[in-house]
Amino acid sequence: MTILNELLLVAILVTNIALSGNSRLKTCIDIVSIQGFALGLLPAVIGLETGMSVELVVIAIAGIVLRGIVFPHLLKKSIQNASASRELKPVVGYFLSTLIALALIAVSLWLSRRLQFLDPSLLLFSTVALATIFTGTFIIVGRRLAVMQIVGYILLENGIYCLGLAFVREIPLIVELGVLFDAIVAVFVMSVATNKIHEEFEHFDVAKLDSLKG
Amino acid sequence: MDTSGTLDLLLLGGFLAIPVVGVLAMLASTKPRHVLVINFAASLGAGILSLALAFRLSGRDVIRVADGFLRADHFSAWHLLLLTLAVFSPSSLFSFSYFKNDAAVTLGGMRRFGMLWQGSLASMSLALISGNIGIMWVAIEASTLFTAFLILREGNSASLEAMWRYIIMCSVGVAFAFIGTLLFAAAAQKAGLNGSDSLLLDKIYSVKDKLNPSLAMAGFVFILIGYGTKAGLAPMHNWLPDAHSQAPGPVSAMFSGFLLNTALYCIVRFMPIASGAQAEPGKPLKLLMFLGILSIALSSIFIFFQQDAKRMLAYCSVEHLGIIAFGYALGPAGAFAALFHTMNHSLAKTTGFFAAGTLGKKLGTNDFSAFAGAAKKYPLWGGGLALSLLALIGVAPFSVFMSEFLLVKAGIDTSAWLPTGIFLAATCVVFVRMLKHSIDIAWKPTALPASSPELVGAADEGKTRDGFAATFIIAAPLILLLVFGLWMPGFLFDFIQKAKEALWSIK
Repeated sequence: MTILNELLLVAILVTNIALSGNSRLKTCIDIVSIQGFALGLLPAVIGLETGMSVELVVIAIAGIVLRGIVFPHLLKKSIQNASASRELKPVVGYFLSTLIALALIAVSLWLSRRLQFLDPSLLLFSTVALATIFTGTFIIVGRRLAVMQIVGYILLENGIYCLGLAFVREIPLIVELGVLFDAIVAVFVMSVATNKIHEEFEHFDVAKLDSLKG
Repeated sequence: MDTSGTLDLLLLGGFLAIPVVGVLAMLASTKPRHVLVINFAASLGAGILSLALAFRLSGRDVIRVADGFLRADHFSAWHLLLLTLAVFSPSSLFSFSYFKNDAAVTLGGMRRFGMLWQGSLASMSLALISGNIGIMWVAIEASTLFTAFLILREGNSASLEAMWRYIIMCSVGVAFAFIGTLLFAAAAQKAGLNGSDSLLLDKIYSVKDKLNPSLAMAGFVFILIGYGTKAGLAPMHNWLPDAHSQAPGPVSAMFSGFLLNTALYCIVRFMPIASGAQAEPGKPLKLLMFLGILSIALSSIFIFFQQDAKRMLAYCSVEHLGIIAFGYALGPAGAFAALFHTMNHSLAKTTGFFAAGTLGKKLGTNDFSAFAGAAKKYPLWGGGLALSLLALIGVAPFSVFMSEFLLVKAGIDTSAWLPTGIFLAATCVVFVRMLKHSIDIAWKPTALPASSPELVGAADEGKTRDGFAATFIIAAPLILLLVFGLWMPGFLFDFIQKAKEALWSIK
C-alpha cells in the first residue's frame, strides 16, 4: 500500500466525519464531491501499484466523472428552488452525529480486524469502506430532508464500491459499469422525486410525509 | 452447434430486444390508444418468447450464452412464463379498460407509462435469465428505478409519498444485497475461481463445498435482507402496502403479481450455494424460514384490521410471499409446493387487483364498506373480486388450496411442526376475515346513500358493457385456478418437477 493510496482513504474518512456534522446543504454537497473524486482516483492508484489496465482506466474515469461531478450537480439542481439552505432540526443533533461518526469508524476497525479472510494489508481499505457504509446508513436514518437522504444513499453506494475494491479483484467491467449506471439513475430518480415533493408540499421534509398508515 | 448457439442467443437476447423495439414503436406512435396496443403486443411477444424457451428446454437442462452471463434453466423459465403470461400480458390488457375515460390519458402520459412498463419488463426478465450474480443485482436495482415512477399519479400527493418511501427503502435494501454479492464473489475467489468466473452462478455452485462457511453465511444474510426488502418479507415490508395501494390498477397488479417474486427468485438462487457451503446445510434455510413465518404472522394481523381493499390485498401479498418463502425453506421437499403456489398467487392476485382497482375507481374509494353489494351493480368486477378473494384464502377447489395443502404435507414430512402450526393458525385468521369481505361484496345490501353523485354517475357507467378483454382477464385466471385445483395436467407437473430439480442442482 502506497502513501498515495492511504492519503485517499484517509480523505474519504475525513469527508465522512465532516458530512455528519454539517448542516449547510451546499457544503454537504461539496463534501460529497470531494469524496467522489477521492474514490474515483482509487482504482487508478491501485493500477499504479499492480499494473495499469484498460479496465482500471475506464472505471477510474467513469468514477471521477459520475461521483465527483454528476452526482453533486444533480443534488445542487434539486436544492436550487428550495427555500431551506440548511437542515435545522435533524433527528439526531450535529454534535452527537459527529461523535457517532467517530464511533462508527472505531466499530469498522474492530469489525475489519475480525474478518479472518481479509489480507492484513487491506485493513485500512476495509475500515474505510465499512465506515462509509455505516455513515451513509446513519445519515439516511438521522436526517429529515430528502436531499440529505440522497446524500446518505450516495455514501452507502460509495462505501460498497470501496468494499468491492477491497474484497474482490477483477470484477468484470460490464458489471462495474452496470452498477455505476444504476447508481447514477438512482440518484437522478431520487432528485426528480425530491423536486416533485417540493412542488407538491412546498417543503422537502420527508418526516412530514406521514399520511399513509396501517 | 453453431446455429443452435445463435438460436439460443436470439432467444435469450429477445427478452431484452422486444421491450426496446416496443419503446421505439411507442415513440413513433401518435395516439394514446396505439401506445397501449404496442405495450400489450410487446408484453405478449415476451410471453410467446418464454413459451419458445420452455419448448427449447425440453430435453436439455440449461441454455447458456455469452460465456454464461445469460443462462436459463427450468427454474428461470417457469418464472419467465409467469412473469410474461400470467402477469404482464393481462395487466397491459387491463390498462385499456383502466385508463378508459381517464382525464389523465395524454399521449405523453401514456408514452411514459408504456416506456416504464417495458423497462420494468426488460429488467425483471434480465434478473431471471442472468447467470452472473452481478448482472442479477444490476437488473433488480434497475427494476426498482423503472417501477418507481409508475407509482406516481400526477397531482396526487399520497402517491408521491408512497413513491419516495418505495425508492428509498428498496434502493438501500438492494444496496445491501450487493454487499452480499461481493461476499459470495470473495468467497468464490478464495475457493480458486478467477475474477470473472467468481460471479457466475453455476461456477460458484461447482465449488460450493470449498467456500468459506462463515463468508458464505454472511453473504446469504446480506442477500436475504437486501432482496428480502424488495420481496416484501417482514419486517422490511413497510414500503409495500403504500406503493401497492397508491399505484394505478395495472401497476398494483404487476407489483403484487411478480415484482416481489423476482426478488424472492434471487434469494432462492443463492440458497443451494449457501447451504452447500455449511457443515450443517439447514442453517441458511432456517433464516429464510424465520422471515417467511414472520411475514405470514405479521400480515395476518394487519389483514384482520384493514379496511382499505387495495391495502388489504397488499398485505395479502406479504402473506403469500411469506408462504412461498416458507415452502422454499423446507428444502427440496417444499420446493414443488412453493413453485406451484407462485403461479396460483400470481394468477389470483392480479385478478384481485384488476377488480379492486376498477371498483375503487368507479366508486371513488377503496374502503370495503363502500364495496358492499358491489357484485350486484358490477357483476364482473364485484364478482371477480369476491371470487379472487375466495381463491386467495384457499377455498377448495381453487388451486391455492392444493398448493397450501402440499405445503402443509411437506411441513409435516420434514417435521417442521412449529412453523407449520403458525402457518395454519395465521391462514385461518386470514380465511375468516377475507371470507367475510367476500360475502359482503357478493350479497350485502349497498352501503352508499342513493343521492350520492358518485353513485348516480357510477350507475350509468355500470350499464355500459365491460367488453370482451375485461371479461377475459377476470374470467380466464379464475377458470385456470379452478382447473388446476381439480386436475393438474401432466406437462405442468413435469415442468414444475424439473424446475425444482434445476433449483437444487445448478448445472
